[in-house]
Amino acid sequence: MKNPFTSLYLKIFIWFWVVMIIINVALFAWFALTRPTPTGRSWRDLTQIGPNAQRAGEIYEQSGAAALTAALHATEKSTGVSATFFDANGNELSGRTVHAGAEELIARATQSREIEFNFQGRDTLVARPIVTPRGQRYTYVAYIPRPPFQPIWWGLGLRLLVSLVIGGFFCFWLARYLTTPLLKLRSTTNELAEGNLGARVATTLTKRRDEVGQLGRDFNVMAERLESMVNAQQRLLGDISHELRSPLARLGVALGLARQRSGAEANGALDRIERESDNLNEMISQLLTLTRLESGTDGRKRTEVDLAALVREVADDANFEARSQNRAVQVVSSDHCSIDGVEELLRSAVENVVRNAVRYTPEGTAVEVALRKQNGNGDNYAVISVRDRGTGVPDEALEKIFRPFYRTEDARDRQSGGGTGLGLAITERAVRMHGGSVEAANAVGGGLSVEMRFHLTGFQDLSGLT
Amino acid sequence: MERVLVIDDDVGLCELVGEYLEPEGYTVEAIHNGERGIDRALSDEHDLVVLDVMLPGTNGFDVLRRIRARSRIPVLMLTARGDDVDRIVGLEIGADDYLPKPFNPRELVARIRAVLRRAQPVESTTSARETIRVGDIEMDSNTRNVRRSGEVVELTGVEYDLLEILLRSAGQIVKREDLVKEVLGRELSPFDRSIDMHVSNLRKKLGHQLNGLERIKTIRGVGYIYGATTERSE
Repeated sequence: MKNPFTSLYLKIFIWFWVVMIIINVALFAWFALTRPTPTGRSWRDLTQIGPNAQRAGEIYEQSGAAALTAALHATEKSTGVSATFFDANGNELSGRTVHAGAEELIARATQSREIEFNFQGRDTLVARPIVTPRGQRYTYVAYIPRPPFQPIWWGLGLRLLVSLVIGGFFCFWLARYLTTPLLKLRSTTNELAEGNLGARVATTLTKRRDEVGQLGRDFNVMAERLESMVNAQQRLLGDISHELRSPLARLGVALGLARQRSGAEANGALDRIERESDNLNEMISQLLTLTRLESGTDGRKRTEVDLAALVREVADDANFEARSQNRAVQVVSSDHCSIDGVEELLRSAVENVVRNAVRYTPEGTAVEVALRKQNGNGDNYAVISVRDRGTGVPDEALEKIFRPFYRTEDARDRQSGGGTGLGLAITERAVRMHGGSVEAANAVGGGLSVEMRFHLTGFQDLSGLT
Repeated sequence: MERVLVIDDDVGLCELVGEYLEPEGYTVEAIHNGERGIDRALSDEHDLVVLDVMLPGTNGFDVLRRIRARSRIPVLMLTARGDDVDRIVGLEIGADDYLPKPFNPRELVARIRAVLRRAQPVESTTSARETIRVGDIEMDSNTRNVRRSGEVVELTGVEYDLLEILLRSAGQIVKREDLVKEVLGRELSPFDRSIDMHVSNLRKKLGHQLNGLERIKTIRGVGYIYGATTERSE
């Protein structure tokens, strides 16, 4: 999980949480916008109309028009309600601007002696007739503007906070509930992939009655089958190796007996029998190696392998063998490097390539083996290259030579009696098993050059993984 | 006539081996199961055991382990070809040599001869009791006992011979081909790493270090050298 936002857990968590918040905000906004017009504040203003009107009458009678004007100004300032004050004849007394429609409303109020309203769209005009203690009749007209939409921010904040916390908690729980079994399943899958065929999902997961539980049970059935198949294959490999070799072993000893008892005239034929049975035997063991590599059932331990030493040893051995055929194997460069791997497999990978090269290089020439450290794309590589001086391989066959039993057109190797046709295939599988790659190319100046390329990692990093 | 015990479940192969070894001067007794094989191997009636790793029932390694617990009789292991693990394990437990199966019967005879020659008591050549002492190691050629700092170290026949040669020329390089010839009684052939495996077992048993130096140092491409700075006495 390099990028935390790619994890299912976070995705579920964030999606649900965001959806919850959006629903909450949308509900709140819808509620706020569709509320009936006189909102809380308008109602408060309306209830104040009566007392305000009464007080305006008293101020006018006791202190005169100027005081009234001042009082009405003050009211407007504090509440936003702009009022005017009329006497019984309909004359405005405070000198303030008269609102449109006021006269008609005053007329209605004078007649009904009741409070009258005129809803003008968003705003309200109210006329309140009063009688002062001195018996005079007046009309108080108030213009109440609809309060602007003013969401109560702290209330909204609180709402959001509550929904964030409670929603967050539930989403967290939900996401955990959904992803924990998946993570468990994943770790079991990894274990299985790493070769622990006995890995099974725990019963806490398989006991669940939902889809995850089904997945867990199916996984266990699959692992069960996989284990028995791999075991059967390994047994089969062992049996093949034993059963095919037993007759070969008897054949070998019988051949020895035939030699003991026959004259020199049979030697040629007996030599031929021996060579062919050796060939057959070599093929069986290589086929077994290849099958083991292909099926990934080679359970050998990985250790730190010194490539320089390995290349040197293989080259020495091959040189020893090649000298008898008037050929040579030279190590032309050997940088010090080591990789994490199965030594025997790496050895046979290199050995097969070198032996192949010895087979094709003309007499009197040398096979060149090099181990170099290379740097590319910020990574370090160990590159083992083997080059012979033969005629090379047609370009279209360069990739095919790593296929089992592939032979080039001229197939000289069959005549010279060497090679099972499996060596390079084993090399390719073994190199790939070590996370490397192998490539063949016709070298400039003739001959085939095979390059094996391995990733070089700091050994400290690897030890942390295993 | 030297007596060879062959423990192998392949009846046909045992008959053929018997037929082949007779004119070479060996009498062969063939046993086809591990338990009986152990009994016979411990009966002290044979000079050498040829033991197949792949035995039905008891595993060849277990048979070898149980023989080794009671006897020093030379054992030649027959292993599956290409199975390096078998080879390494076999030599570690104390096989004197191994031969990948299928084998050439000439090779089998050569190995049997070499193992038997090594197992010959040394009294015939040197009657005097001889002790080799190099550093913390003491070898008694009479009893074939090896002690390190006074403690007995159990070595197989091959390991004893190997150590003897290395100690006799302590401080000097011994060539791999010489070691193979003298210890295993055969020519060094390419891709044959058994001598290196014996050396590695020897290192494990004796400890890798000697006064902070490498006890047996590998000289790449040439051979081995036993601890460079040591006094030598005989």
